[in-house]
Amino acid sequence: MKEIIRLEHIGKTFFTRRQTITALQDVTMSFGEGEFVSIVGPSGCGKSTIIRMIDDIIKPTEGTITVNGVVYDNCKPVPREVISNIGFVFQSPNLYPWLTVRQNLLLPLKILGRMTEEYISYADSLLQMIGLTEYAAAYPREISGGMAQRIGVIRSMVHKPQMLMMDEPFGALDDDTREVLDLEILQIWKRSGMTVIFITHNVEEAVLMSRKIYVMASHPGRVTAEVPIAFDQPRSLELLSSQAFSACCSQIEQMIGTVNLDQIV
Amino acid sequence: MSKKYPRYAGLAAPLAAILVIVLAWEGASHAFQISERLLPAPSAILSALAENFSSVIASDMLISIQNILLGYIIAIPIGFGIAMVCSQFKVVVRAATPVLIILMITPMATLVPIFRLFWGAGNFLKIIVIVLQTAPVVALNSLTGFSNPPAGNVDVLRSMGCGRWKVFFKAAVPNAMPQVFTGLKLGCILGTIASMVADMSVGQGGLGYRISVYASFAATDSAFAAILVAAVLGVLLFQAVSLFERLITAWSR
Repeated sequence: MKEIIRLEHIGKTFFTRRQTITALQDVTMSFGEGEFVSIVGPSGCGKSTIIRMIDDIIKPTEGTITVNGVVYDNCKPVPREVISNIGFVFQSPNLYPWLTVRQNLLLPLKILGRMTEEYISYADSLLQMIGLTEYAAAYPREISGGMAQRIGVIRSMVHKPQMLMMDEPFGALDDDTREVLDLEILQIWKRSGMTVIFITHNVEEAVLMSRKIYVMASHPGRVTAEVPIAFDQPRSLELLSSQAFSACCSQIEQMIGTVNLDQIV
Repeated sequence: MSKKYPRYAGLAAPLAAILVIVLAWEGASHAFQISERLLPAPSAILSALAENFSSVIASDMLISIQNILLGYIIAIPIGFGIAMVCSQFKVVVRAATPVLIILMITPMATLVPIFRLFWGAGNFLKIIVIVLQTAPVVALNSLTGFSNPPAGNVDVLRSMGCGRWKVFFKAAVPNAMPQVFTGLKLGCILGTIASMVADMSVGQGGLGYRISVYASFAATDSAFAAILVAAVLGVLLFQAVSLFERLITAWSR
């Protein structure tokens, strides 16, 4: 598999007035083209920071990031053609309250100068796929949180990026809705062939979705394990109830070191 | 909540309030025989208005309209420009805010006697006073709005490779519209007041000047007629800005 994203010895230190915080230390990761990789870890381990760096929202203080063969310069903005090839799904929908649902969806096309018929009809087809076509003219305050988050997800891919960063996209939703949306994402991923980096603190979600999982620890944020996940394709919700699945999950949970509430009760 | 009321109530209620006040005023001035020289009845004011409007007050009104609009239109881009530059640099915000507050609070008409030495008495001087009074309040309110664009919306733009100014125009400016309009509305009120005061201390026509002339002749009914015209002007300007606000910030309601 061809490598598309590479992080080498990445470090990130935040300097505040009172203290110096090492958010990430010596993180090395590799993502193959078309791969679906999850990063799990306790909150504060810097997993979001990693994908924010890949999309040039923040800069690392140490190490190098290489995307599609382009090495990021830590002092300059990353070239537009690299960034425009990356989509980003945030923890919250981050819709613009002054734009309608459809205007929100078309925003990346406007900014990247891709308001062509082909892209616009692709955007409309995504809207149809998540079943929100009739809300195209609504303002964000008029739709539910779950709907807004789905808009946020498809907004990240209207410009047909090759890579998709997902930062706990369904963390705020209930388990059932999340599982359904997870499978929707898997379908989109299979069809598009995108490289996806999926951030979550939900181990089951990570195991269900990924071919590979990076496990991280905090204080300082670092990678503690790289686990390949070998379940068959395509995956369905039945997998969730299989023995092998729960074994895999508890193995990873032990790596994270978080105490599973089920084990206490 | 307000949607429960019938539509006409929004207009009828304030009109009814004005009618009650006018009727009480009219009744009181007849019942208590208040001197016409001190407080003329509304009917006397209206007849003075009818008598003097086309011959005298109208030309002053045109001067005032011209001054207020010119001053306001010049002040808006100046206020925006100050807010735009300031919002991008935290140090400048710190430096500029007290200066803007001082400018906003200082009644600019107090500077008329000094400014007259530079520019002489005339409409130019009045427009400067209006601009100086209006621009800071527009700047200060816009600055508040521009300073804190929603972090999530900024992240979305940054994730698409947008730089500082693109983020400013795509996220900070539209998000700030409610605050910007607060500034614009305060600005049109302060601008109208400044224009009246400038008329009084500069002379050379304008409604403020006309009011002080009528008052000095104890033509109280005509003075009130000119005040009424000034008030209507202020209200119309304010309503025009509010209408514009409703069109632009429809998303926030």
